[in-house]
Amino acid sequence: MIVGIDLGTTHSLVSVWKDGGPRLVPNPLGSVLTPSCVGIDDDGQVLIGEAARERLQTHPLRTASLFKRYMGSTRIQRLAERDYRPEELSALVLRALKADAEAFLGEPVTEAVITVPAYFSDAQRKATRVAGELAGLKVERLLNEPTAAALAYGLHEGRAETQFLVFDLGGGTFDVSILEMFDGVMEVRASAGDNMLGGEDFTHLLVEQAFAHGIPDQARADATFMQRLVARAETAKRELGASGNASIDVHWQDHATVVTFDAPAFEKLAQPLLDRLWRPIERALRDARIRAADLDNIVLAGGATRMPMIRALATRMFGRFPAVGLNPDEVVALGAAVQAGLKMKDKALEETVMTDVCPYTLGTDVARRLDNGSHAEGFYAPIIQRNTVVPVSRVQRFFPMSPQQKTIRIGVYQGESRLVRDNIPLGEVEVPVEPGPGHDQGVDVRFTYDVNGLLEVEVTVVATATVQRLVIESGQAHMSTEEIGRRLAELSALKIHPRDTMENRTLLAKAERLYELLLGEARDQVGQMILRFEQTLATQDERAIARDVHHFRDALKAIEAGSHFAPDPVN
Amino acid sequence: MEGPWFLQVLGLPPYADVAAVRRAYAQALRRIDPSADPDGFARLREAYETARAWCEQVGAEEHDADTPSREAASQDAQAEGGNTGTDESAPSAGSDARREAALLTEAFVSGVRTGDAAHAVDLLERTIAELRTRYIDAPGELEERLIDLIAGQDLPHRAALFDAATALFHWEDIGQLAPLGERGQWVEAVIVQQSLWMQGDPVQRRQWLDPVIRAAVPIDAPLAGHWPVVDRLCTQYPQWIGLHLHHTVARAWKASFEALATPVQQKYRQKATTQAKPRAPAKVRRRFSLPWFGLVIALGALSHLGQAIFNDHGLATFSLPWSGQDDTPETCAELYRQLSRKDAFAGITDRAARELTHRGEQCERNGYWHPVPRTDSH
Repeated sequence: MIVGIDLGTTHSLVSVWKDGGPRLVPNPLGSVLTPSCVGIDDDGQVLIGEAARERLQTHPLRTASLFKRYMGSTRIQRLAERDYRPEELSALVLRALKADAEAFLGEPVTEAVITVPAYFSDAQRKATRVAGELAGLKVERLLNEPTAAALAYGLHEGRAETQFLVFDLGGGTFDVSILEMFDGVMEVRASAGDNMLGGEDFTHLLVEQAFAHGIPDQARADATFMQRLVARAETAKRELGASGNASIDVHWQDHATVVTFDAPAFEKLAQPLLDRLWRPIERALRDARIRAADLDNIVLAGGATRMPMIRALATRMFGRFPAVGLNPDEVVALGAAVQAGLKMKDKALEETVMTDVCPYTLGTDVARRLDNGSHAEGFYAPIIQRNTVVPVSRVQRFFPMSPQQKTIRIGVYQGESRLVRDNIPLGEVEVPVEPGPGHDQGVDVRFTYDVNGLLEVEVTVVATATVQRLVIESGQAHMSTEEIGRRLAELSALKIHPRDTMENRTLLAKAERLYELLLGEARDQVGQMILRFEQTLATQDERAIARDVHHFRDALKAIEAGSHFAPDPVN
Repeated sequence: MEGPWFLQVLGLPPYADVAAVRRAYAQALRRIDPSADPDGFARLREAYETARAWCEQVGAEEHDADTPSREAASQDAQAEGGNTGTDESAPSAGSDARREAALLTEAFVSGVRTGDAAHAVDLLERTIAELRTRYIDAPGELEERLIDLIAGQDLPHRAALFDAATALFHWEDIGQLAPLGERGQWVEAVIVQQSLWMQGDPVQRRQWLDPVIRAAVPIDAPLAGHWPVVDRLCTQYPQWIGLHLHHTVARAWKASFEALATPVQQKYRQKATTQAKPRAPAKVRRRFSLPWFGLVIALGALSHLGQAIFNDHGLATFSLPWSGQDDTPETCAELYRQLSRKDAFAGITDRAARELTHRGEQCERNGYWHPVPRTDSH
């Protein structure tokens, strides 16, 4: 059985293709959204999802979130006594989703389709695949998120022939894809995006306002304060969306301020972010060679498209209202299940095929000889042009600059600038070219880009027919097979809270957060509740636990709903 | 089976339309697993893309053959009206936005005509920012309009505007110009010529360009003597020099020079040739090249128009692409059909090719560049 996984910046989902349709799998708390958070509790056990998210505020040094943003980099996060790479944190989330799917299906799950932002680079994609391996999942396919959304939407619409645009603003990334559907073929015409633009950036704007209103910068070093502020800003962002007004009470040591917003003020603040949405859309339209007026529909994906200002902007941009009908939080995961169904050659999908593109240009660097005999370096020679249908393999021949040259260095870059310094370096390889006869025959450089978006570079010295393959390594981010094996063993040794205790852990984490938040009588009350619940848990009497969980949950809900205290101030 | 290779790969008879090609491709795609058989997929994909391009070309030719009359043209116009009808079904903000964008564009054009270069650049930036708040296609429409105005020498401060537009519209990015068709080719040509120009000696460049920038009608006698140099620049950098030199000035300059006594003309010609070392265009080898060169060649293959101008390094006499005769909508339509044919430039002289190209550009600038005569200009 292959499952579909939307490994998101803030939330992740798992889905399966079952009974001729995509189905979302609930987690132990009954929700299909599992926060992409990992924490280590006081006993050194790993908590994943909602329980970890609750602990972000109470245990910021033992809890991690937003690690998708660092995939493909060497950034390491220390939780309790161990350093974690972004791949490992993602792997822990994947592992929880895998367990959910196994519980749902009643059979082991070993293969997955995992979605990635279309604009994810080679290093980020490789890191995602490694995360899958570390979670014990064979990654059958890395699927671009907007393409997944399009698969779900296309199937949902069931129209024979249509052109549409997917506007996918997630927690941390922005992607645009333009698709054409005909005769059961779903063809991505163009994709573009921004890897560092998402809903979190909008939350961050509100966070910064606290510092603009009298909270000193030293407070940034206070991890607990910062997590609380972020959580409060997140709530404020949602309130702004729902009611058009929000305020944040912020206290830090003896500093206090109230930041109040209305929707127009927030939009003004967000203008620089909104401006960054244009470029990828313009580029995708341009590359697909169609005008916005020729599109049949605009499909929104990603939780951040719930923000009214994003919806209004999309409406203004395209002069029409975006399609509603599929939940933007869920559409990518549904599409991942469709791809899993395609992979399993499910009967219901016999007539559907999908092709995707390489969203960015891949090339090498070249030097250019000038009139005066000198030469200038650092020019970019594209080998695979962006928005070429994948899989694709292209070869180009390059020549040494001088007859004495002993080696040719081939740099591999991704990007659209004509100068390599403005593009992203992916790796490089040096091949020997023997001076002498045949020296000037040069080298053939072959770039192969597969359906998963992974690049392979092969250099052939024409004269000697020797072949060299380039392992793309981005800095130190690359992990060797041995290292993956070692980390896999280490991760397996970690104690993870079993699924069936997840709800209890989540409730306790939430209670602890409320305890720290509240004062006076209410605080004592929560303290009593925690103590009582822990005692019940210690008895291991399942019936007693089941009964108490019920009370505990309702009581916490009542407290959180605000009947016991004013809107939660930060600290 | 007979027929072109791409139709054979798709299992189609020697003749097929777009719908048949798409259906055949869809069928074949179901039988192939791109990840398991990338070579087979690449072959299918190439056949499909070639076949689609082929169908479109054949379709366009047939369309031309089918619609020689004015009635057909008006039917066409009605059909287009139908298309805009779907735009109006969008929220009413859409058509308001379009009207506002049109007003903004007009304000930009008249603003540039009245202010200085810095003002023009500033206005361009502000107009793009404003247009972006209207609808997504609006900046692209300004971009096309701007290229038409600069290429047609219909605006002052062309050099400054071109540089600003290069940055604002990311013209130097890979693949950015290809979707602009002939306009993109024109921009490409200017950028390539500009980079060749920039390779020269800065002092020399200054000496050559200064008179061009200073020049205004009437051309006085000392300035007239610069003509042989300017003439050479016009030949080497025809599109780029057009940013600095208006064609009316060039014509007046040439006339003033020819009014000089023959020995004086000779002297200036002599001076111009000794001054300028014969410079071959930058010698480029692989591991090497200006990235745009490849693109220019690839673009050139799409249409003969831009290439004909661009390759015209060997010009001896003064001739700017925009100095053609005046065509009517009817003759423009005729020319369009003529130049759309694959063999349009086969077996004719450079001069004739240039002539055709110039007329084509003129037609386009006047808004008559359509397969059928249209009297509305934009």
